[in-house]
Amino acid sequence: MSHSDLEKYEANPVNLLWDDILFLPVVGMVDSKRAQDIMDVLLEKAEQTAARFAILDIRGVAAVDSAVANHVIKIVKASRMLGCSTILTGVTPAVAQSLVNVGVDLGDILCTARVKDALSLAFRELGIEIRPVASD
Amino acid sequence: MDAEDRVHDLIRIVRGVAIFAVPADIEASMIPTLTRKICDLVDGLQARGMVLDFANLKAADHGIMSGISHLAGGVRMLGVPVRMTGMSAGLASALVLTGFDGLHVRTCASLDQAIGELLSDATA
Repeated sequence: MSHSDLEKYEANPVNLLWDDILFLPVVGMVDSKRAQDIMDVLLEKAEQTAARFAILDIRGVAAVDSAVANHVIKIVKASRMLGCSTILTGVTPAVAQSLVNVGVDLGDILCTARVKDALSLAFRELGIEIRPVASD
Repeated sequence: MDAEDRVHDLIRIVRGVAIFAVPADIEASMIPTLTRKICDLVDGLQARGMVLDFANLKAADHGIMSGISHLAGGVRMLGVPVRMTGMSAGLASALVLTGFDGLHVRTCASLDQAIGELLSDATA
């Protein structure tokens, strides 16, 4: 693995959060190169694990321009081709405003306010129920 | 060997579901023949569904993908539900980056999931 590959995986750690559920927190600046890296690592992991959901948390992203927004849509479409539905979460008011201003249509994309909601959605779709252990 | 002769090698039946293994050397010109033969086969077998398995396909252009989309459309017209699976990360990425919008077929993460969904649809 080359140094740039290593950087790519370290900057964009995709974790198997649960069976069939991947989680990728995105923190920092995202330009077109980084967006491409995110697509590469996410698709690679989705292919390896045959995960059915990927939660993309962009709360740590301060700004998104139209090029990056379009890249996010491409990530969603490509992962869907692998049978992996992407749930976008952590969209801040500033990012939401810039997405609307650049005319990006997120209508086809699953969005939730918090990671917790994204996880609940994935659990529901997978037929998983989390219950507290019954006390005596 | 032409497309017509190859169909029987490319299709297998698992629990009443037809699985079409899209060949690595598929060409757009083969697809109309494949579509006709596959529709005949699926109809004759009264298959409970069909899975397009892309596991062997590592590269494809829009012409091929559009042809496969028509193939899936033809099978769906027979009332047979279709799922796709097995696409590689590299192919999905390449297709999306060149503007491909998807096959408009429900995609599954694995062959087992695809077969399971088709069987549960058929019994629903």
